[in-house]
Amino acid sequence: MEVNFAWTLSAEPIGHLLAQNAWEASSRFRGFLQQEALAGRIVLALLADTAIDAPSPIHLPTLNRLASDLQRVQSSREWLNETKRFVADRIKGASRKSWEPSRDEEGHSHKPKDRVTLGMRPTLMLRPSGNMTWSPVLDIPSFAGVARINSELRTFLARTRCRIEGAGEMWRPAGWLLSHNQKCVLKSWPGAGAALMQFERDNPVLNHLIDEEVRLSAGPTWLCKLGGDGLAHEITSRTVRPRQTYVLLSQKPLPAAEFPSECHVDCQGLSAAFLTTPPHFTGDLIRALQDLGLHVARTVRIWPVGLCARQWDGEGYSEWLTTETPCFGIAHDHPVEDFVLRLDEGAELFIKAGGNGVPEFVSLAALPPGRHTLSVKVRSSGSNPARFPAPLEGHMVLEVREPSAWIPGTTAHAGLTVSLEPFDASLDAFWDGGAAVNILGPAGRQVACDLTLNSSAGKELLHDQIAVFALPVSNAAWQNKLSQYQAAEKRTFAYLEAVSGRFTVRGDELGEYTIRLDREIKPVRWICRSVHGIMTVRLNDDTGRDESVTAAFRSFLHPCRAIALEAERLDSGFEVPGAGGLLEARNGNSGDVVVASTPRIDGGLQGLLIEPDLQDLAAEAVPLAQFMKLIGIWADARLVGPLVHMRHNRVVTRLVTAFFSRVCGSRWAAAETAYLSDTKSDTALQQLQRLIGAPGFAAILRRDHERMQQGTGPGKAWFAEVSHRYGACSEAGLCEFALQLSSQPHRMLAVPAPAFEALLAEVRKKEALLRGARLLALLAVAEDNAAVKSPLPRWIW
Amino acid sequence: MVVAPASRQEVMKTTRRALGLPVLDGDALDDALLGALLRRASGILCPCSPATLSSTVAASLEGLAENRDAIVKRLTGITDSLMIYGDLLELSHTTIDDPAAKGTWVFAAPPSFAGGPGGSIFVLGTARDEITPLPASLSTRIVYRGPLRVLRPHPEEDLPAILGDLGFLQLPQSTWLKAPRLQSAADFLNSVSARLASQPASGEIQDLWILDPDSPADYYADRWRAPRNDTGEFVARRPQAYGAPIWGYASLSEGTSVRFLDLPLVNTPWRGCDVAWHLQMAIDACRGTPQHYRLRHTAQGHSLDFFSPLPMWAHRRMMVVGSPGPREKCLLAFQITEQDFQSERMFLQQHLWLMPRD
Repeated sequence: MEVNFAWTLSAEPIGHLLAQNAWEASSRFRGFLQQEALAGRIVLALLADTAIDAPSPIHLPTLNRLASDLQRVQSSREWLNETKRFVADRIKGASRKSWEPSRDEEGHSHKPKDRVTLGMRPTLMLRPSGNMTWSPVLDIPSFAGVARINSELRTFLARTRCRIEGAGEMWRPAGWLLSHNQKCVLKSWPGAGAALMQFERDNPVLNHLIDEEVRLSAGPTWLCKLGGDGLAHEITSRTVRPRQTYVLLSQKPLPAAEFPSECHVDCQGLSAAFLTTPPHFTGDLIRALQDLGLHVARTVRIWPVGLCARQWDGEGYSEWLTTETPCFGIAHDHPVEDFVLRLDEGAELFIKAGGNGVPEFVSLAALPPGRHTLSVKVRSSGSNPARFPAPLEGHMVLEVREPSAWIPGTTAHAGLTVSLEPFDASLDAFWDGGAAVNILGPAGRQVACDLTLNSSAGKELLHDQIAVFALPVSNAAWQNKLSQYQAAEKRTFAYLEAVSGRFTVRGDELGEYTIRLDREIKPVRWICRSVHGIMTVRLNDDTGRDESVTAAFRSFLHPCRAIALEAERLDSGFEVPGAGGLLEARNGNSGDVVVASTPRIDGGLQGLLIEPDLQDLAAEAVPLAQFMKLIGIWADARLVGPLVHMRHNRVVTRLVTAFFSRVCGSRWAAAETAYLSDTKSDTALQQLQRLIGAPGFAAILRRDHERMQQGTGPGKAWFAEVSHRYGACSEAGLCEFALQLSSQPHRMLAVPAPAFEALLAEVRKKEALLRGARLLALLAVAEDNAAVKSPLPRWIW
Repeated sequence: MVVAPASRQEVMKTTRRALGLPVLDGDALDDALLGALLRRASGILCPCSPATLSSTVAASLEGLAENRDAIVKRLTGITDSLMIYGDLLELSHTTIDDPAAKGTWVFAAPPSFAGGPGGSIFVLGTARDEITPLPASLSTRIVYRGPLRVLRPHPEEDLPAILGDLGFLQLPQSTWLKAPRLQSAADFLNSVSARLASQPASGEIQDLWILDPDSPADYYADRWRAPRNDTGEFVARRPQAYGAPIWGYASLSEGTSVRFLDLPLVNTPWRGCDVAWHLQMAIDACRGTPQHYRLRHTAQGHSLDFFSPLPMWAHRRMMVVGSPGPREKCLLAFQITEQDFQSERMFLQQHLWLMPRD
């Protein structure tokens, strides 16, 4: 029945639904889903042989041929498999309740409200943190609903870090808002009207939504009702009732009176008081409460009965699913004639009231998405006009939304949180350690991390365990295990052949997290093989260009000298000469660079590591761009073979040192070399500090260098501020240039030459600035737990 | 009509229908209904404390349940059962909101399943908006054993493969029924004593309660008392400002606490109470008064009656191998077939140092 329902849909909604909900899929798959009508139609064609009733924009035989062709191409097959997976989930979710407007028993349809809720409203609660002391906690709903608005918002949320106002300076990882409700403790009070969230990058649409919805309720006082579980939840209407206990929060100091009594709150800029209401309110008390900005309620109670409501604040706000049928109980403690209920603009329902304290129940039909209002009018019998001048009337807000379908392979709860940054890391970035992996969970539990690699033909090349970790897992621990994992030669060869992969974190009963990793297939690529200890390479050229490919080899011994390779050897393959080196190939705009190391060792143990000869760079006439180009070629290459990490790193380190020798002087370069050979040496670090030439500046950089770990955005702002304070430089742009040059000199080739020359000339005049920036880069390198320490930090710009 | 008056029975029926439970006549609040309500609440509220779950569900039953205290007590018991089955996970030393603070919270387990006797499948966990994210063809076949969801396979049906394809996690028996490593009662007791000895001095702890090893083990609740003039090491609980008292192991000198070791131990997956109950069994065994379970012969095989709580890993195993039976002046009772009896007797003896008696 569920599947039949799906066939009544046209292709476009299916494509749209897929695109809306595939934010956790690979970037290529999401790109494919942007063509919603096409994606939906292909899905329907592939999932059933059933003819589709609606007129198709694609001729049926063409569609069939398209589907069959797609099945033959690996990447498309993977897209389609992934599509099937999502469709299976969505049809299950969609079948629960209609895509059409819901109808009541008399067949009247109910249009969804114009304003469909985005569910971004955070709720405030207080958690006890000591004797009569409270910590305010913000419960922020998942932004998955916002992500469904369009793909740009989805991408922005998945790629952008955010910060919660009042919860410290920490940036939350990209995608943090998409997975599930998040809670954070407020250390300082953001204040009434302040937007509670800030993104690292600007987005006018989200900024507007956050200004509108993601804020605290209007102050200057906030009321939280203490529940039986010891937590206090905010009552947005600030209504107090008899025989209840509340915590009152205020931005201003609360009056020191016997009532309410003072308590403490662990939050800067906020006062708190404990408020226990008596069985009956006197006139004086009502006035005192009104002076505090509170309202005193009459006691006709309405509550969700049967199913508990989401986000129920006890005072009329609740959230429901379209699949649910809310029921409410109504009870009163004074004589009441009847209740009159009305949902939105519908007909009124009269219910004769029972005796005092005897509940009456009402049930609602399942509601369409949007905001609905249930109005309840209470007509009192024998009303005393002086006491109740008008019938009591209350309103309940019911925010109704579609249920979120469960997506297997995601962790739906915060017991196991996996963060991968960037979230859409490629297979290469993942393999090279360019993706930061952090796994949070209960201490002592273990998770197993697996990697599966697949060839272009869909064959599984490798499936094994990277490591078993005890939770929580820091990125440093991850990088350490990853580098050990990569050391096995067979894995490297599988990686080089693979076009896609799947990274899985298995936490047994904690759940499982899976992410797909794709590789952009290069039209020109080296294929490496090792058979019986002999390393051979051959070149694949799929560019289809008439021009022949150019290729060269640079040995570890002479990394600056390119020896041209004959074209006829490239197709058939050849043995990597000597101990190996760098192989580069290019045809038009396409190219590939790989560093291949062989087991050959010349000259005993010393031959394990090959000391590169950089005489070719010794002449002053060699331009800096040549250094940068060489660093780029070597640093960005893929690595394969035994000892390759050590040999490759030696070449890159020597090239980088040579570069900074030219820019910062030979004494600085010698100090760098000494420090990199032993990053635990305090003497070597002090020598670097001395050479900066500004003792105070150097000391602060050394002391606070971990500020760079917060990301390059906040890091560069901090560095600019410190540089300005200590007179090293007052131009923020130049400070950033110094940091970039010190951490990724080879990327500076992208800066137009005249601009680069001008900036370099400027920064060279400010010796302390550039050396200070380089000191930060070296300290970041020292913090990196990788087995082989690169001379360049992993900062992401 | 969109809004309609409803009787208590109608509300119950509507609720059962919304939760995917079989609709019954009458307004009984059975364990299956309470378990489903708690699972749904866990999808909404977790991570939270067990008290938050039971108080939220109790609030939604106001007007449906006659006695609030009784229903809260039942909900507390069923929450505990859901933790034992694995529908809910109590995770210690976990960070959820404040990176600087680690605490113990209850989480909803992800949708998963584990194999039971005779090819039956225990369906565990929940998704955020779907209590049991199964297609109707499977969800209508769920049988409720108390709050536990059980699926029985049709002949020739490979249920694990079907559930695996739907994305449910399969919990192998080695994971789901994992027990602490096998060791003697003395070794276990010595290892915990050594950790207690390495704790700093605690000073006097007010309102401490200890489990008296001298009192008969047949009356678990009566074994708890305040320290008098006791000297030695005791399973204990110390109060905290908010929340349930903390389980621990205390060293006392003439009734005054000298050291206190909080349970659970860091880097163990068990709950504090599980470690404490296990430890008390070791203490009793080392004192030459091992705890007993009563053995009764029944038509189905044997009934094993326990007088003290079992650690979660042992309780879960009993539930899988046997089935809960009627209690007669005991805390827990399980029906075990003749075929499984010997292996379970060995398990109870080796892991918990429990001895049978008639």
